[in-house]
Amino acid sequence: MSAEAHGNMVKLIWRTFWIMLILTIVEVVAAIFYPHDMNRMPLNIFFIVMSLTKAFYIVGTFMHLKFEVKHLIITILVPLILLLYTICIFLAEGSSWLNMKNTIW
Amino acid sequence: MEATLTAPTTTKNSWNGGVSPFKVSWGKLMMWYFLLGDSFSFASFLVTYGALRFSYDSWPVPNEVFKSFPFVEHANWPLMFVSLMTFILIMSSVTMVLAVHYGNAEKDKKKVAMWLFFTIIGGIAFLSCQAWEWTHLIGEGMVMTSNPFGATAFGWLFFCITGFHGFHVLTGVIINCIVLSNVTSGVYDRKGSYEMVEKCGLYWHFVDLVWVFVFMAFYLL
Repeated sequence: MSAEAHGNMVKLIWRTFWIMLILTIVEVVAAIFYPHDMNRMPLNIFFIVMSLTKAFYIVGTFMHLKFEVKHLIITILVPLILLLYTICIFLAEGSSWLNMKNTIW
Repeated sequence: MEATLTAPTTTKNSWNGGVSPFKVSWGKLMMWYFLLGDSFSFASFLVTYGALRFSYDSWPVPNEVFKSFPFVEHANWPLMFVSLMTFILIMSSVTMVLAVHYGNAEKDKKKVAMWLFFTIIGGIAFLSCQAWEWTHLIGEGMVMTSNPFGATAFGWLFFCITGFHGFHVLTGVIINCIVLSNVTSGVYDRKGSYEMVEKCGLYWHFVDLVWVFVFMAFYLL
């Protein structure tokens, strides 16, 4: 690796660290100072988006996946769509359990 | 116009054998696929957490449960300790990337050993913090079978999921120690490649990645 490419990589690593740190600080500040009487949904969506952003930085830059062959990236990311589906159906399942508990038959 | 029977191959067909189609070594590829499977394990635990939590009318508020801090009596510092833990783990991920980078780019034994050592310190620090957190919560009465903060499920889900994650951190620390000893004794210099450090790096970043989602699920949402 040339000296320049080497320096660039180290700079990228530290830049990613600062991004991760700032995202985490923003998340924690939001968690502490969000008003208690407001609807929680926008805040939760914000957390999920922030965590997914951090995940993309970890997987893409730290784990180097962004720089790999495209088809390798696909074999890793496509199965995770199954996970997305699983999350959605199980949250719906949980809500259904609550509904059944609260309904008087 | 001359008809050609066979088209000239100007690009190497990467699936005909002899080369790695994805341009990575077998070991690295298998580590990726192991991590993919392990992420399904963690996802199933977190999905269970989500499903059970949605089935409850009321759930403990994280800002109320997680407000203690070591060496601070009766602290009311919501989420501060877990933020410190998250910072420690992210920092150890950065030191790990640097170790991998110096191994691949410079094959500099001393630098790899130094950054790998910092990663191990970070891992041990994280485990110590987690141990303190567990001890403190158990001291307050949150155990596997009862929870003064609310739903019992919150308690055992917390211990099981953070425990499973902590177990991964522990095995990561142990593997990193073994690889560090290999680095300092020159095994990878003789081999000509520091790829083992990179493979361990993938595992370590996976551990950090899982923590991002565990942190989100238990402490933020």
